[in-house]
Amino acid sequence: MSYHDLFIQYYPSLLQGLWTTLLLSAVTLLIATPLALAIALIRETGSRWVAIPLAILVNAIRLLPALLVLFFVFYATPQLGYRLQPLTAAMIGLSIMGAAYMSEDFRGCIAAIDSGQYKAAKALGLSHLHTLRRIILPQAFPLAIPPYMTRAIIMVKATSLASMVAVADLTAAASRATSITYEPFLFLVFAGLGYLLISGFLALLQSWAEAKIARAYRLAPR
Amino acid sequence: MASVEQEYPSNNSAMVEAKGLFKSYGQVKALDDVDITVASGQVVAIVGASGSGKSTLLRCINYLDPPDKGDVWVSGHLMGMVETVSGTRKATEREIRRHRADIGMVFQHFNLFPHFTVLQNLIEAPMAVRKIARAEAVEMAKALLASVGLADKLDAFPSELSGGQQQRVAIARALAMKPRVMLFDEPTSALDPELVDEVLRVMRKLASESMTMLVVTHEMGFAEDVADRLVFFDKGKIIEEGKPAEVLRNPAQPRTKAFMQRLLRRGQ
Repeated sequence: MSYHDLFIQYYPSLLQGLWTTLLLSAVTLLIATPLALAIALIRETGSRWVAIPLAILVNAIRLLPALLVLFFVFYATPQLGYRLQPLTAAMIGLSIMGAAYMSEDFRGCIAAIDSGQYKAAKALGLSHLHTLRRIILPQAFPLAIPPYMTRAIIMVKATSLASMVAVADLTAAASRATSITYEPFLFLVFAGLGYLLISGFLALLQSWAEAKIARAYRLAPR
Repeated sequence: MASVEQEYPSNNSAMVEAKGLFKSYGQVKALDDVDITVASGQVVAIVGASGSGKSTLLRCINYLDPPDKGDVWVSGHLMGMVETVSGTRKATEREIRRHRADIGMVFQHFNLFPHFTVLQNLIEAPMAVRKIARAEAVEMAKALLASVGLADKLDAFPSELSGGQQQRVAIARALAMKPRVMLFDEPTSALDPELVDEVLRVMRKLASESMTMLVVTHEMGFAEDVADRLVFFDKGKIIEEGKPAEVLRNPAQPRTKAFMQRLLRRGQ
């Protein structure tokens, strides 16, 4: 069979895989981002009675291999009485992993804001929440764009681990087609292009956001 | 603690009164049994070596950093406590915030909000804390900026201003909250020498308008001209106080003498 015929035969499943990867990426990012921000804020500025347990949890998760966490969510939770769909298990596992790493990225950006900003806000009688919302986060936001977008790209690529827990994502579709047809070149290149499409979009988004922020914040010193 | 009634400052004109303040950071005693009373409209210069507790005193007065022990009254109000019909209780964070808003503070490094324009720096807290309408806050901000000589810098960002201008904005920002007392924590120490005077000028003007001020400073000329009283800190204690000219020219304590001589030598 020619590449053309092979492609015609397998592209529905590849496209389905690409769609699953896209969905997995979007959902894990949408869950991980607010979770990571909350963890970072609590650890940087919250009561230590919450911060310390969170620190232990984040470290326990980020020190484990992602695949082990995924296996745990998919294979071990049924023993605890929760049977999860492969896609759901992958979403949960990847979101948890992503949030743990991402919270560290955010924490760095929040810690970079001068402590004098908190003191000035406090001396003016501003509440803690108001200070975070109006004073600290707007200054931390531009700093967070490069590490955040890098983390997002890493998370998109890490969704390929979902193929190990029976999710028919892009990697799974390509490797299945490969093992049936013994034509790795075509399908792996297709999968590669699919990932490039998604992470390339994120890389472009980063350049756009950085340029936009640079204009908006051109006068604020760093 | 004794009843608040009896502990209230007997002299009604006392704007700030602190009694028996202690504050430690680890092993370091930053404040070691400090008493200080500042009458309404008075300017007190606080002098001493770095690490002697001067700045800690300011932070304890507005409860930015509450004292380990001791009481602070500002304008007759006991900081950190509230009175209820059934007696006194510890103030909540929100209540402390409200009291703190009555006390203006100016920092060594200005601490303006860099992502805000000068105007936004001035109106943020009045709108958020005092619930003043935007138009009114803007009017007040314009008047304050004019009074510190920066009427034309309304839309500038802090990074576009010199250090002296930034500190004048910081003073205006504190004044926008209509404070009863102003605390200055080495307001000119981070400035280039040629920019010191423009800030001191604003502070002199404020003193002449009868603002109660506590000023941690190394500017002895300012202390002598403007302050009603000078207190000298050493190792967390006030070891000498009096008329600035007397303490400066004729210090009684050997430590004060040594400090003044070091300052004079530096000045030559």
